[in-house]
Amino acid sequence: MTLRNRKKSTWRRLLWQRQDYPDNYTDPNFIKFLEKLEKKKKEPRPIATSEDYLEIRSHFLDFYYVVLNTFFIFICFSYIYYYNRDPLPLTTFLTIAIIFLIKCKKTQVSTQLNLKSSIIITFMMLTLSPVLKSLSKTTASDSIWTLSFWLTILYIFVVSSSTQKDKPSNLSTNVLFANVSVLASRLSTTTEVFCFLSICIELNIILPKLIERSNIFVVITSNFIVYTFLNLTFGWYHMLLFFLLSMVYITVLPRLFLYWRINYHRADVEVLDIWDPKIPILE
Amino acid sequence: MPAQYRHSQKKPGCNTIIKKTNGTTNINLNKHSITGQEEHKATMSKTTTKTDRVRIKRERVNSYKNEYFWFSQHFVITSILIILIVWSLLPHRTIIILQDILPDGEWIIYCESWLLMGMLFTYIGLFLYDEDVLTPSLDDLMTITDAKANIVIEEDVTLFLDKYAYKESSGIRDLPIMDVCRLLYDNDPVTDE
Repeated sequence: MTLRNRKKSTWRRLLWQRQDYPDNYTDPNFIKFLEKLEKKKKEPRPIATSEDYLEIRSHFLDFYYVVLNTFFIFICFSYIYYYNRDPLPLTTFLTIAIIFLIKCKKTQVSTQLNLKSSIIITFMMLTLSPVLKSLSKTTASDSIWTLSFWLTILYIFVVSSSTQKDKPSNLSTNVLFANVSVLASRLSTTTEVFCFLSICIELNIILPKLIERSNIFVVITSNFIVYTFLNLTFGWYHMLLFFLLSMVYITVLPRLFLYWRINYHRADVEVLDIWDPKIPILE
Repeated sequence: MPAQYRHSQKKPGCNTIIKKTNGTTNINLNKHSITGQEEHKATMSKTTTKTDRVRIKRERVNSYKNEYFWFSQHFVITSILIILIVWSLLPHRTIIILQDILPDGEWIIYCESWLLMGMLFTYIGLFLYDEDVLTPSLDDLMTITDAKANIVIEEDVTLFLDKYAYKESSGIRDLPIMDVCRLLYDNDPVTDE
């Protein structure tokens, strides 16, 4: 073991780090990788099987469910802001349902959601809600909508690109919180702000942990709510447009992806993926 | 799990797909292997533990994830191109839904022609600037050498030969151009006249 420790540490492809290797050192692994790549290029193109298609479609559907889930931020917001409904009954109903669900699945989630931390978070939200209400009060509504739109796109991107499925990353939680707090400044009372915050956090962070997004009952419910909302708020024309777009997304895009993967995807880009990890660490 | 095994797993760039063999682990084999490569091969081909299987699955998903990234890039860029072409070719005020969001249809024509003419002017202008300003005249010494030339100057010839002729040097050296000229053309009858 001591011999192994005294050996040179493994070479890493990082320019900023002073390493015990000459400047023009080439890692043998890299040459192996390139040889493998050359071999891969000469191989005949892979044939798509139905199994591949099903797997890819399930990944595409996962993304669709994430988008549906983020829709709920705006559904809640318009429920409070546009329709002027009282958010208290909905919040209490959701909270009770979530507590019931946690009781049922106590073994898995209890480490992440214990009582103490949730009480602290609730109190923090209570103290923060008047601040959030007046934080960007002076900003024009149009800027708020634009800001929220881009934050939503960022949120969808961050959520779908995070590696762990069951545990949302800190970054996605922060982006969601930014989006919600930006929207909260349009609400009129502190109670509404608090309810909006808690509903959004429950729906987007806690519920996906407790129930599977791809569960058929959950899918039907969320689809039903989203389509009803679209129909009531924007009219049947936009609902139909959204329906057609999502149908095209579910049926055509996975096939297009397979076609692209077989005919257009270059193996060379793997060099960038493995040897130049340029992803910033934001977590 | 022995330490060697863990060490080999963390090696960068080793993403060979492990073939599934019988479930029993043969890690003890690794104790006999000495070099890292042998050990690497042994772990790659002989064993699959539960963590391995999880890792393979995760790698597969991650590889798909990368491909989704490339595909989405391809898709977004292609669709933007198609939309731009369609938008610039359609007669104005046909896209009723997007009228509130998109700027006037004329803007796309302006931008496209500005880009096209900008490219034209840049290419011609850069070519002319290179030709007329940056290129030195033919009788200038700059066409042969410049201040950054890496000339080796040694007092003794044998020392020079020892240092540079029979040894691998780390870079490219320039010949002293004036000395070369003197050697080659000093006794030239044309210049002597």
